[in-house]
Amino acid sequence: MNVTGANTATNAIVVRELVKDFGGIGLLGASLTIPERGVTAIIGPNGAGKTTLFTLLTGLVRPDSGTVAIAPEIGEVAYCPDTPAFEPWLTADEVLDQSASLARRRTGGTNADLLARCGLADTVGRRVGGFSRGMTQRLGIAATLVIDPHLMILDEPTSALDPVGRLDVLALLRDLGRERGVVLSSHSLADVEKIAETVIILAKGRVVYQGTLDDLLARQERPVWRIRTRGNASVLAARIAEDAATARTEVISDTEVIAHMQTMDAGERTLPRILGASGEPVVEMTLDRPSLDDAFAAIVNAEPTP
Amino acid sequence: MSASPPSPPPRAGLFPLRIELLRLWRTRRLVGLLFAYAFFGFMNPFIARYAAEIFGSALNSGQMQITVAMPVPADGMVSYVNNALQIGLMVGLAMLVSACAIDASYPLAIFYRTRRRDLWTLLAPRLAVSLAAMTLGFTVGMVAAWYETAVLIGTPSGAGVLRLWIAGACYQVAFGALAFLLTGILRSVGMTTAIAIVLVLVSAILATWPDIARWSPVGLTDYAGIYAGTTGMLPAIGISLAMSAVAIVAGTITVQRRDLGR
Repeated sequence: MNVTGANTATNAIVVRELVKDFGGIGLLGASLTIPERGVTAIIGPNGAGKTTLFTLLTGLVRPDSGTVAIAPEIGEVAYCPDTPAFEPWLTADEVLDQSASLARRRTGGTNADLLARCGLADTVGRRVGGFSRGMTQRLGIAATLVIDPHLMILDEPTSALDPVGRLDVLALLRDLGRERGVVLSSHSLADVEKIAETVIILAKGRVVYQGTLDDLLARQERPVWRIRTRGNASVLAARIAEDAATARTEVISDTEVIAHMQTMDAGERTLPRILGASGEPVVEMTLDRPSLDDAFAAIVNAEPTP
Repeated sequence: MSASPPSPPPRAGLFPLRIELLRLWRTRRLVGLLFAYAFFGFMNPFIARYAAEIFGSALNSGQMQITVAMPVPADGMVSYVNNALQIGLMVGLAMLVSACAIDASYPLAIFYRTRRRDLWTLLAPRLAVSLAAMTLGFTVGMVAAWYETAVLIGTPSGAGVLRLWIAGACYQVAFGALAFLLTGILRSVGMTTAIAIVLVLVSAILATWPDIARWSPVGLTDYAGIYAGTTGMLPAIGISLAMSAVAIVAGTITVQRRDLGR
Protein backbone atom coordinates (compact mmCIF):
# COMPACT_ATOMS: atom_id res chain seq x y z
CA MET A 1 0.00 0.00 0.00
CA ASN A 2 1.30 3.39 -0.94
CA VAL A 3 0.74 5.63 2.06
CA THR A 4 1.53 9.21 1.30
CA GLY A 5 0.57 12.59 2.65
CA ALA A 6 -3.10 13.25 2.00
CA ASN A 7 -4.67 16.59 1.24
CA THR A 8 -4.68 17.57 4.86
CA ALA A 9 -6.99 20.56 4.64
CA THR A 10 -10.08 18.56 5.55
CA ASN A 11 -9.39 14.97 4.64
CA ALA A 12 -8.06 12.30 6.94
CA ILE A 13 -7.76 9.69 4.20
CA VAL A 14 -7.65 9.94 0.44
CA VAL A 15 -8.17 6.72 -1.51
CA ARG A 16 -7.34 6.51 -5.20
CA GLU A 17 -8.38 3.70 -7.56
CA LEU A 18 -8.09 1.06 -4.87
CA VAL A 19 -8.38 -2.49 -6.13
CA LYS A 20 -8.60 -5.72 -4.15
CA ASP A 21 -10.20 -8.27 -6.40
CA PHE A 22 -11.49 -11.48 -4.82
CA GLY A 23 -12.63 -12.93 -8.13
CA GLY A 24 -15.06 -10.26 -9.22
CA ILE A 25 -16.00 -9.08 -5.74
CA GLY A 26 -14.16 -6.84 -3.31
CA LEU A 27 -13.00 -3.40 -4.40
CA LEU A 28 -12.62 -2.86 -8.11
CA GLY A 29 -11.29 0.68 -8.37
CA ALA A 30 -12.65 2.79 -5.54
CA SER A 31 -11.74 6.43 -5.04
CA LEU A 32 -13.00 8.36 -2.06
CA THR A 33 -12.03 10.75 0.71
CA ILE A 34 -12.71 10.48 4.43
CA PRO A 35 -13.19 13.82 6.22
CA GLU A 36 -11.08 14.58 9.25
CA ARG A 37 -14.11 15.07 11.46
CA GLY A 38 -17.75 14.15 11.48
CA VAL A 39 -19.60 10.93 10.82
CA THR A 40 -19.14 9.33 7.41
CA ALA A 41 -21.41 6.46 6.50
CA ILE A 42 -20.36 3.89 3.94
CA ILE A 43 -23.39 2.09 2.63
CA GLY A 44 -23.92 -0.44 -0.09
CA PRO A 45 -25.55 -3.74 -0.89
CA ASN A 46 -24.09 -6.99 0.44
CA GLY A 47 -20.80 -7.72 -1.31
CA ALA A 48 -20.31 -4.11 -2.37
CA GLY A 49 -16.85 -4.06 -0.78
CA LYS A 50 -17.45 -2.19 2.48
CA THR A 51 -15.57 -4.57 4.77
CA THR A 52 -12.81 -5.01 2.19
CA LEU A 53 -12.44 -1.22 2.11
CA PHE A 54 -12.13 -1.11 5.91
CA THR A 55 -9.48 -3.82 6.00
CA LEU A 56 -7.54 -1.96 3.30
CA LEU A 57 -7.81 1.36 5.12
CA THR A 58 -6.45 -0.22 8.29
CA GLY A 59 -3.62 -2.05 6.53
CA LEU A 60 -4.93 -5.51 7.43
CA VAL A 61 -5.01 -6.42 3.75
CA ARG A 62 -2.69 -5.29 0.97
CA PRO A 63 -4.37 -3.89 -2.14
CA ASP A 64 -3.75 -5.25 -5.63
CA SER A 65 -3.30 -1.65 -6.79
CA GLY A 66 -4.24 1.88 -5.85
CA THR A 67 -3.27 4.10 -2.97
CA VAL A 68 -4.46 4.90 0.51
CA ALA A 69 -3.05 8.25 1.66
CA ILE A 70 -3.40 8.99 5.34
CA ALA A 71 -2.90 12.56 6.50
CA PRO A 72 0.26 12.88 8.61
CA GLU A 73 -1.60 14.26 11.61
CA ILE A 74 -3.92 11.25 11.65
CA GLY A 75 -1.97 9.20 14.14
CA GLU A 76 -4.30 6.46 15.25
CA VAL A 77 -6.84 4.78 13.00
CA ALA A 78 -8.85 2.30 15.02
CA TYR A 79 -11.07 -0.38 13.54
CA CYS A 80 -13.88 -2.29 15.19
CA PRO A 81 -15.35 -5.14 13.11
CA ASP A 82 -19.05 -5.99 13.15
CA THR A 83 -18.43 -8.98 15.42
CA PRO A 84 -15.48 -7.99 17.60
CA ALA A 85 -13.81 -10.67 19.68
CA PHE A 86 -11.65 -10.62 22.78
CA GLU A 87 -9.89 -13.17 24.92
CA PRO A 88 -12.89 -14.63 26.76
CA TRP A 89 -11.00 -15.15 30.00
CA LEU A 90 -10.25 -11.44 30.41
CA THR A 91 -12.54 -9.01 32.23
CA ALA A 92 -13.93 -5.94 30.48
CA ASP A 93 -11.49 -3.84 32.50
CA GLU A 94 -8.56 -5.98 31.38
CA VAL A 95 -9.67 -5.87 27.75
CA LEU A 96 -9.48 -2.08 27.81
CA ASP A 97 -6.06 -2.19 29.49
CA GLN A 98 -4.91 -4.72 26.91
CA SER A 99 -6.19 -2.55 24.07
CA ALA A 100 -4.36 0.50 25.43
CA SER A 101 -1.24 -1.52 26.17
CA LEU A 102 -1.11 -2.94 22.65
CA ALA A 103 -1.61 0.47 21.06
CA ARG A 104 0.77 2.06 23.59
CA ARG A 105 -1.71 4.88 24.02
CA ARG A 106 -4.80 5.54 26.09
CA THR A 107 -7.34 8.24 26.67
CA GLY A 108 -7.77 10.00 29.97
CA GLY A 109 -10.42 8.77 32.39
CA THR A 110 -11.00 5.41 33.96
CA ASN A 111 -12.05 2.20 32.29
CA ALA A 112 -15.21 2.24 34.37
CA ASP A 113 -16.16 5.66 32.95
CA LEU A 114 -15.47 4.50 29.44
CA LEU A 115 -17.49 1.33 29.84
CA ALA A 116 -20.35 3.31 31.34
CA ARG A 117 -20.23 5.69 28.40
CA CYS A 118 -20.67 2.71 26.10
CA GLY A 119 -23.57 1.34 28.14
CA LEU A 120 -21.55 -1.27 30.01
CA ALA A 121 -21.67 0.10 33.54
CA ASP A 122 -21.28 -2.64 36.18
CA THR A 123 -19.39 -4.96 33.84
CA VAL A 124 -15.88 -3.79 34.73
CA GLY A 125 -14.92 -6.97 36.56
CA ARG A 126 -16.94 -9.40 34.47
CA ARG A 127 -15.23 -11.83 32.11
CA VAL A 128 -16.14 -11.01 28.54
CA GLY A 129 -16.65 -14.65 27.58
CA GLY A 130 -20.12 -14.36 29.11
CA PHE A 131 -21.08 -11.22 27.21
CA SER A 132 -23.97 -11.18 24.75
CA ARG A 133 -23.35 -10.12 21.15
CA GLY A 134 -24.69 -6.67 21.87
CA MET A 135 -22.46 -6.27 24.93
CA THR A 136 -19.46 -7.47 22.93
CA GLN A 137 -20.25 -4.92 20.25
CA ARG A 138 -20.38 -2.16 22.87
CA LEU A 139 -17.12 -3.42 24.35
CA GLY A 140 -15.62 -3.26 20.86
CA ILE A 141 -16.45 0.43 20.72
CA ALA A 142 -15.05 0.97 24.22
CA ALA A 143 -11.84 -0.90 23.31
CA THR A 144 -11.54 1.39 20.30
CA LEU A 145 -12.23 4.54 22.28
CA VAL A 146 -9.71 3.73 24.99
CA ILE A 147 -6.84 4.29 22.58
CA ASP A 148 -8.22 7.75 21.76
CA PRO A 149 -8.01 7.31 17.98
CA HIS A 150 -8.09 10.23 15.59
CA LEU A 151 -10.24 8.21 13.25
CA MET A 152 -12.60 5.40 14.20
CA ILE A 153 -13.78 2.88 11.63
CA LEU A 154 -16.77 0.86 12.77
CA ASP A 155 -18.25 -1.96 10.70
CA GLU A 156 -21.99 -2.14 11.38
CA PRO A 157 -21.64 -0.92 14.97
CA THR A 158 -25.32 -1.30 15.83
CA SER A 159 -26.11 -4.59 14.10
CA ALA A 160 -26.38 -6.61 17.33
CA LEU A 161 -28.06 -3.97 19.48
CA ASP A 162 -31.64 -3.73 20.69
CA PRO A 163 -33.62 -0.58 19.75
CA VAL A 164 -32.69 1.30 22.93
CA GLY A 165 -29.06 0.24 22.70
CA ARG A 166 -29.02 1.30 19.07
CA LEU A 167 -30.20 4.80 19.96
CA ASP A 168 -27.61 5.03 22.76
CA VAL A 169 -24.76 4.03 20.48
CA LEU A 170 -25.93 6.33 17.68
CA ALA A 171 -25.98 9.24 20.14
CA LEU A 172 -22.49 8.28 21.29
CA LEU A 173 -21.18 8.12 17.72
CA ARG A 174 -22.77 11.48 16.91
CA ASP A 175 -20.95 12.97 19.91
CA LEU A 176 -17.68 11.35 18.90
CA GLY A 177 -18.03 12.73 15.40
CA ARG A 178 -17.80 16.24 16.79
CA GLU A 179 -14.26 15.71 17.99
CA ARG A 180 -12.84 13.15 15.54
CA GLY A 181 -13.55 11.26 12.35
CA VAL A 182 -16.02 8.41 12.60
CA VAL A 183 -16.51 6.08 9.65
CA LEU A 184 -19.22 3.48 9.87
CA SER A 185 -21.05 1.06 7.67
CA SER A 186 -24.65 0.11 8.24
CA HIS A 187 -27.50 -1.60 6.50
CA SER A 188 -29.90 0.51 8.56
CA LEU A 189 -30.29 3.62 6.46
CA ALA A 190 -32.52 5.09 9.16
CA ASP A 191 -29.50 4.99 11.47
CA VAL A 192 -27.32 6.59 8.81
CA GLU A 193 -29.88 9.35 8.29
CA LYS A 194 -29.80 10.10 12.01
CA ILE A 195 -26.08 10.66 12.39
CA ALA A 196 -24.12 10.85 9.12
CA GLU A 197 -23.04 14.09 7.55
CA THR A 198 -21.20 12.44 4.68
CA VAL A 199 -22.40 9.42 2.75
CA ILE A 200 -20.38 7.16 0.49
CA ILE A 201 -22.29 4.60 -1.54
CA LEU A 202 -20.43 1.55 -2.77
CA ALA A 203 -21.84 -0.73 -5.42
CA LYS A 204 -20.08 -3.58 -7.16
CA GLY A 205 -16.73 -2.55 -5.72
CA ARG A 206 -16.88 1.07 -6.82
CA VAL A 207 -17.91 4.35 -5.26
CA VAL A 208 -21.10 5.50 -6.94
CA TYR A 209 -21.75 8.47 -4.67
CA GLN A 210 -19.81 10.55 -2.20
CA GLY A 211 -21.15 13.73 -0.70
CA THR A 212 -23.24 15.11 2.08
CA LEU A 213 -26.46 13.45 3.07
CA ASP A 214 -28.37 16.61 2.19
CA ASP A 215 -26.85 16.69 -1.28
CA LEU A 216 -27.68 13.05 -1.81
CA LEU A 217 -31.31 13.59 -0.90
CA ALA A 218 -31.47 16.83 -2.89
CA ARG A 219 -30.01 15.06 -5.92
CA GLN A 220 -32.86 12.59 -5.86
CA GLU A 221 -35.53 15.24 -5.40
CA ARG A 222 -38.27 15.25 -7.99
CA PRO A 223 -40.71 18.13 -8.62
CA VAL A 224 -43.45 16.42 -6.67
CA TRP A 225 -45.44 18.20 -3.99
CA ARG A 226 -47.88 16.85 -1.46
CA ILE A 227 -50.73 19.24 -0.76
CA ARG A 228 -53.20 18.88 2.09
CA THR A 229 -56.45 20.83 2.03
CA ARG A 230 -59.41 21.28 4.30
CA GLY A 231 -61.52 21.70 1.18
CA ASN A 232 -62.13 19.32 -1.72
CA ALA A 233 -59.03 17.50 -2.93
CA SER A 234 -60.59 16.60 -6.30
CA VAL A 235 -61.46 20.22 -7.06
CA LEU A 236 -57.97 21.30 -6.05
CA ALA A 237 -56.41 18.57 -8.24
CA ALA A 238 -58.47 19.70 -11.22
CA ARG A 239 -57.33 23.32 -10.77
CA ILE A 240 -53.67 22.27 -10.58
CA ALA A 241 -53.99 19.99 -13.63
CA GLU A 242 -55.29 22.86 -15.75
CA ASP A 243 -51.92 24.65 -15.58
CA ALA A 244 -49.34 23.90 -18.24
CA ALA A 245 -46.61 23.60 -15.63
CA THR A 246 -48.26 20.52 -14.21
CA ALA A 247 -47.34 17.09 -15.45
CA ARG A 248 -50.08 15.21 -13.61
CA THR A 249 -51.94 15.01 -10.31
CA GLU A 250 -52.97 12.21 -7.99
CA VAL A 251 -55.80 12.46 -5.50
CA ILE A 252 -54.61 10.45 -2.50
CA SER A 253 -57.62 11.04 -0.28
CA ASP A 254 -60.48 13.50 0.21
CA THR A 255 -57.99 15.99 1.61
CA GLU A 256 -54.68 15.17 -0.07
CA VAL A 257 -53.33 15.70 -3.56
CA ILE A 258 -49.96 14.94 -5.08
CA ALA A 259 -48.89 17.28 -7.84
CA HIS A 260 -46.18 16.23 -10.29
CA MET A 261 -44.83 19.41 -11.82
CA GLN A 262 -42.77 19.77 -14.98
CA THR A 263 -39.80 21.32 -13.16
CA MET A 264 -38.69 22.24 -9.65
CA ASP A 265 -38.95 25.87 -10.62
CA ALA A 266 -42.52 25.38 -11.81
CA GLY A 267 -43.43 23.87 -8.49
CA GLU A 268 -41.71 26.52 -6.44
CA ARG A 269 -43.09 29.49 -8.39
CA THR A 270 -46.30 28.36 -10.09
CA LEU A 271 -47.86 25.96 -7.64
CA PRO A 272 -48.35 28.51 -4.80
CA ARG A 273 -50.03 30.82 -7.27
CA ILE A 274 -52.37 28.07 -8.49
CA LEU A 275 -53.24 27.10 -4.95
CA GLY A 276 -53.94 30.72 -4.02
CA ALA A 277 -56.16 31.19 -7.03
CA SER A 278 -58.07 27.96 -6.43
CA GLY A 279 -59.91 29.32 -3.39
CA GLU A 280 -59.50 25.98 -1.63
CA PRO A 281 -58.17 26.17 1.95
CA VAL A 282 -54.64 24.75 1.79
CA VAL A 283 -53.27 23.38 5.08
CA GLU A 284 -49.79 22.56 3.85
CA MET A 285 -47.70 22.10 0.74
CA THR A 286 -44.54 20.06 1.12
CA LEU A 287 -41.93 18.81 -1.28
CA ASP A 288 -42.26 15.02 -1.45
CA ARG A 289 -38.62 14.41 -0.49
CA PRO A 290 -37.21 11.00 -1.12
CA SER A 291 -36.01 8.98 1.86
CA LEU A 292 -32.43 7.78 2.03
CA ASP A 293 -33.77 4.34 1.12
CA ASP A 294 -35.28 5.80 -2.06
CA ALA A 295 -32.09 7.68 -2.92
CA PHE A 296 -29.93 4.64 -2.19
CA ALA A 297 -32.09 2.33 -4.29
CA ALA A 298 -32.17 4.82 -7.17
CA ILE A 299 -28.39 5.18 -7.24
CA VAL A 300 -27.56 1.51 -6.78
CA ASN A 301 -30.17 0.34 -9.29
CA ALA A 302 -28.85 2.80 -11.84
CA GLU A 303 -25.49 1.01 -11.84
CA PRO A 304 -25.10 -1.17 -14.92
CA THR A 305 -24.53 -4.87 -14.37
CA PRO A 306 -20.98 -5.73 -15.44
CA MET B 1 -7.91 16.02 17.82
CA SER B 2 -9.62 14.86 20.96
CA ALA B 3 -9.97 17.29 23.83
CA SER B 4 -7.61 15.74 26.36
CA PRO B 5 -4.10 14.52 25.56
CA PRO B 6 -3.76 10.75 25.78
CA SER B 7 -1.98 9.31 28.76
CA PRO B 8 0.35 6.31 28.54
CA PRO B 9 -1.23 2.93 29.21
CA PRO B 10 -0.69 1.63 32.74
CA ARG B 11 1.78 -1.22 33.26
CA ALA B 12 2.55 -1.16 29.56
CA GLY B 13 5.90 -2.91 29.93
CA LEU B 14 4.86 -5.96 31.91
CA PHE B 15 1.23 -6.07 30.82
CA PRO B 16 1.75 -8.55 27.93
CA LEU B 17 3.49 -10.96 30.30
CA ARG B 18 0.67 -10.59 32.81
CA ILE B 19 -1.86 -11.34 30.07
CA GLU B 20 0.02 -14.51 29.11
CA LEU B 21 0.19 -15.66 32.71
CA LEU B 22 -3.55 -15.02 33.01
CA ARG B 23 -4.08 -17.06 29.85
CA LEU B 24 -2.25 -20.01 31.44
CA TRP B 25 -3.99 -19.67 34.77
CA ARG B 26 -7.56 -18.81 33.89
CA THR B 27 -7.86 -21.29 31.04
CA ARG B 28 -6.53 -24.02 33.39
CA ARG B 29 -3.88 -24.83 30.79
CA LEU B 30 -1.12 -24.58 33.36
CA VAL B 31 -2.93 -27.00 35.65
CA GLY B 32 -3.42 -29.46 32.78
CA LEU B 33 0.20 -29.17 31.74
CA LEU B 34 1.60 -29.62 35.25
CA PHE B 35 -0.77 -32.50 35.88
CA ALA B 36 0.37 -34.29 32.71
CA TYR B 37 4.07 -34.02 33.57
CA ALA B 38 3.58 -34.74 37.27
CA PHE B 39 1.51 -37.80 36.39
CA PHE B 40 4.36 -39.24 34.34
CA GLY B 41 6.83 -38.15 37.02
CA PHE B 42 5.06 -40.27 39.61
CA MET B 43 3.86 -43.11 37.42
CA ASN B 44 6.96 -44.04 35.42
CA PRO B 45 9.34 -44.78 38.31
CA PHE B 46 6.50 -46.75 39.92
CA ILE B 47 6.03 -48.80 36.77
CA ALA B 48 9.81 -49.25 36.45
CA ARG B 49 9.98 -50.52 40.01
CA TYR B 50 7.05 -52.91 39.80
CA ALA B 51 7.34 -53.91 36.13
CA ALA B 52 8.23 -57.47 37.12
CA GLU B 53 5.16 -57.85 39.29
CA ILE B 54 2.82 -56.01 36.88
CA PHE B 55 3.88 -57.73 33.67
CA GLY B 56 5.06 -61.00 35.20
CA SER B 57 1.69 -61.99 36.62
CA ALA B 58 -0.03 -61.00 33.41
CA LEU B 59 2.29 -62.66 30.91
CA ASN B 60 3.97 -65.60 32.60
CA SER B 61 2.45 -68.97 31.84
CA GLY B 62 3.52 -72.58 32.16
CA GLN B 63 5.30 -72.58 28.78
CA MET B 64 6.81 -69.10 28.91
CA GLN B 65 8.70 -67.34 31.63
CA ILE B 66 9.54 -63.64 31.37
CA THR B 67 12.29 -62.39 33.56
CA VAL B 68 12.54 -58.65 34.23
CA ALA B 69 15.86 -57.29 35.36
CA MET B 70 15.98 -55.56 38.71
CA PRO B 71 15.38 -51.85 38.11
CA VAL B 72 18.12 -49.30 38.62
CA PRO B 73 17.63 -45.53 39.23
CA ALA B 74 18.34 -44.79 35.56
CA ASP B 75 15.24 -46.79 34.60
CA GLY B 76 12.94 -44.54 36.64
CA MET B 77 14.35 -41.30 35.23
CA VAL B 78 14.68 -42.48 31.62
CA SER B 79 11.19 -43.90 31.69
CA TYR B 80 9.83 -40.53 32.86
CA VAL B 81 11.71 -38.48 30.25
CA ASN B 82 10.64 -40.88 27.53
CA ASN B 83 6.97 -40.37 28.25
CA ALA B 84 7.20 -36.71 29.18
CA LEU B 85 8.81 -35.89 25.86
CA GLN B 86 6.11 -37.71 23.95
CA ILE B 87 2.70 -37.27 25.54
CA GLY B 88 3.66 -34.40 27.87
CA LEU B 89 5.24 -32.56 24.96
CA MET B 90 2.09 -32.99 22.89
CA VAL B 91 0.03 -31.32 25.62
CA GLY B 92 2.59 -28.53 25.79
CA LEU B 93 2.56 -28.02 22.01
CA ALA B 94 -1.23 -27.79 21.95
CA MET B 95 -0.99 -25.10 24.62
CA LEU B 96 1.75 -23.23 22.77
CA VAL B 97 -0.06 -23.30 19.44
CA SER B 98 -3.33 -22.03 20.92
CA ALA B 99 -1.43 -19.10 22.47
CA CYS B 100 0.71 -18.20 19.45
CA ALA B 101 -1.80 -18.64 16.60
CA ILE B 102 -2.87 -15.00 16.66
CA ASP B 103 -4.70 -15.22 13.34
CA ALA B 104 -6.75 -18.30 14.20
CA SER B 105 -9.76 -16.11 15.07
CA TYR B 106 -10.36 -13.44 12.42
CA PRO B 107 -12.00 -10.82 14.70
CA LEU B 108 -9.38 -11.42 17.39
CA ALA B 109 -6.65 -11.03 14.78
CA ILE B 110 -8.18 -7.67 13.83
CA PHE B 111 -8.08 -6.63 17.49
CA TYR B 112 -4.38 -7.43 17.73
CA ARG B 113 -3.17 -6.39 14.31
CA THR B 114 -4.85 -2.99 14.29
CA ARG B 115 -3.20 -2.13 17.58
CA ARG B 116 0.26 -3.55 17.13
CA ARG B 117 2.19 -3.45 13.86
CA ASP B 118 5.48 -4.90 15.16
CA LEU B 119 4.04 -8.34 15.73
CA TRP B 120 7.18 -9.79 17.30
CA THR B 121 6.38 -7.80 20.43
CA LEU B 122 3.02 -9.54 20.47
CA LEU B 123 4.39 -13.00 19.77
CA ALA B 124 7.50 -12.91 21.98
CA PRO B 125 5.70 -12.99 25.36
CA ARG B 126 3.34 -15.70 24.11
CA LEU B 127 6.18 -17.90 22.94
CA ALA B 128 8.37 -17.18 25.95
CA VAL B 129 5.65 -17.90 28.51
CA SER B 130 4.54 -21.05 26.67
CA LEU B 131 8.10 -22.42 26.49
CA ALA B 132 8.66 -21.47 30.12
CA ALA B 133 5.47 -23.28 31.14
CA MET B 134 6.51 -26.39 29.19
CA THR B 135 9.93 -26.30 30.84
CA LEU B 136 8.33 -25.77 34.24
CA GLY B 137 6.04 -28.74 33.66
CA PHE B 138 8.96 -30.90 32.55
CA THR B 139 10.91 -29.81 35.63
CA VAL B 140 8.03 -30.51 38.01
CA GLY B 141 7.69 -33.98 36.52
CA MET B 142 11.45 -34.45 36.76
CA VAL B 143 11.43 -33.60 40.46
CA ALA B 144 8.51 -35.96 41.01
CA ALA B 145 10.32 -38.73 39.11
CA TRP B 146 13.50 -38.11 41.06
CA TYR B 147 11.64 -38.34 44.37
CA GLU B 148 9.70 -41.43 43.37
CA THR B 149 12.80 -43.12 41.97
CA ALA B 150 14.78 -42.35 45.13
CA VAL B 151 12.02 -43.79 47.30
CA LEU B 152 11.25 -46.90 45.25
CA ILE B 153 14.48 -47.79 43.41
CA GLY B 154 17.45 -45.81 44.64
CA THR B 155 18.86 -42.30 44.46
CA PRO B 156 19.52 -41.23 40.85
CA SER B 157 22.79 -39.65 39.84
CA GLY B 158 22.58 -35.86 40.13
CA ALA B 159 24.74 -35.36 37.04
CA GLY B 160 22.66 -37.83 35.05
CA VAL B 161 19.42 -36.10 36.04
CA LEU B 162 20.89 -32.72 35.13
CA ARG B 163 21.99 -34.03 31.72
CA LEU B 164 18.53 -35.47 31.11
CA TRP B 165 16.91 -32.19 32.15
CA ILE B 166 19.11 -30.19 29.77
CA ALA B 167 18.47 -32.60 26.92
CA GLY B 168 14.73 -32.68 27.58
CA ALA B 169 14.43 -28.92 27.91
CA CYS B 170 16.32 -28.35 24.65
CA TYR B 171 14.24 -30.98 22.88
CA GLN B 172 11.03 -29.26 24.03
CA VAL B 173 12.28 -25.85 22.97
CA ALA B 174 13.17 -27.21 19.53
CA PHE B 175 9.72 -28.68 18.95
CA GLY B 176 8.06 -25.64 20.51
CA ALA B 177 9.92 -23.47 18.00
CA LEU B 178 8.87 -25.77 15.14
CA ALA B 179 5.24 -25.53 16.28
CA PHE B 180 5.64 -21.74 16.43
CA LEU B 181 6.89 -21.75 12.85
CA LEU B 182 3.83 -23.77 11.86
CA THR B 183 1.55 -21.11 13.36
CA GLY B 184 3.08 -18.70 10.87
CA ILE B 185 2.26 -21.02 7.99
CA LEU B 186 -1.18 -22.25 9.08
CA ARG B 187 -3.96 -20.41 10.86
CA SER B 188 -5.98 -23.25 12.33
CA VAL B 189 -5.04 -24.22 15.88
CA GLY B 190 -6.26 -27.79 15.37
CA MET B 191 -4.36 -28.38 12.14
CA THR B 192 -1.18 -26.75 13.46
CA THR B 193 -1.27 -28.81 16.65
CA ALA B 194 -1.92 -32.01 14.70
CA ILE B 195 1.06 -31.44 12.41
CA ALA B 196 3.30 -30.52 15.35
CA ILE B 197 2.32 -33.77 17.07
CA VAL B 198 3.00 -35.75 13.89
CA LEU B 199 6.47 -34.19 13.85
CA VAL B 200 7.07 -35.40 17.40
CA LEU B 201 6.01 -38.91 16.43
CA VAL B 202 8.11 -38.87 13.26
CA SER B 203 11.11 -37.76 15.30
CA ALA B 204 10.82 -40.94 17.36
CA ILE B 205 11.22 -42.93 14.13
CA LEU B 206 14.10 -40.76 12.93
CA ALA B 207 15.88 -41.43 16.20
CA THR B 208 16.54 -44.97 15.00
CA TRP B 209 18.91 -43.64 12.30
CA PRO B 210 22.13 -42.71 14.11
CA ASP B 211 23.40 -40.43 11.32
CA ILE B 212 20.27 -38.33 11.47
CA ALA B 213 19.99 -38.48 15.23
CA ARG B 214 23.49 -37.19 15.83
CA TRP B 215 22.86 -33.98 13.91
CA SER B 216 19.31 -33.20 14.85
CA PRO B 217 17.19 -32.66 17.98
CA VAL B 218 16.28 -36.35 17.98
CA GLY B 219 19.87 -36.99 19.07
CA LEU B 220 18.64 -35.79 22.45
CA THR B 221 16.35 -38.81 22.77
CA ASP B 222 19.07 -41.36 23.61
CA TYR B 223 18.06 -40.89 27.22
CA ALA B 224 19.87 -43.89 28.66
CA GLY B 225 23.16 -42.84 27.06
CA ILE B 226 22.70 -39.22 28.09
CA TYR B 227 21.92 -40.21 31.69
CA ALA B 228 24.98 -42.44 31.80
CA GLY B 229 27.11 -39.79 30.10
CA THR B 230 28.10 -42.14 27.27
CA THR B 231 26.24 -40.19 24.58
CA GLY B 232 27.61 -36.78 23.71
CA MET B 233 24.75 -34.35 23.36
CA LEU B 234 26.51 -31.10 22.53
CA PRO B 235 26.11 -31.36 18.71
CA ALA B 236 22.42 -32.13 19.09
CA ILE B 237 21.96 -29.27 21.57
CA GLY B 238 23.75 -26.87 19.26
CA ILE B 239 21.65 -27.98 16.29
CA SER B 240 18.46 -27.79 18.37
CA LEU B 241 19.11 -24.26 19.59
CA ALA B 242 20.19 -23.05 16.14
CA MET B 243 17.14 -24.66 14.54
CA SER B 244 14.93 -23.10 17.22
CA ALA B 245 16.31 -19.64 16.57
CA VAL B 246 15.78 -20.00 12.82
CA ALA B 247 12.25 -21.36 13.30
CA ILE B 248 11.30 -18.53 15.67
CA VAL B 249 12.65 -15.83 13.37
CA ALA B 250 11.06 -17.43 10.30
CA GLY B 251 7.73 -17.88 12.10
CA THR B 252 7.71 -14.26 13.22
CA ILE B 253 8.53 -12.97 9.73
CA THR B 254 5.84 -15.18 8.20
CA VAL B 255 3.19 -13.89 10.59
CA GLN B 256 4.35 -10.32 10.06
CA ARG B 257 4.08 -10.66 6.28
CA ARG B 258 0.72 -12.38 6.28
CA ASP B 259 -2.30 -10.21 5.59
CA LEU B 260 -5.82 -11.00 6.66
CA GLY B 261 -7.31 -11.32 3.22
CA ARG B 262 -9.86 -14.11 3.22
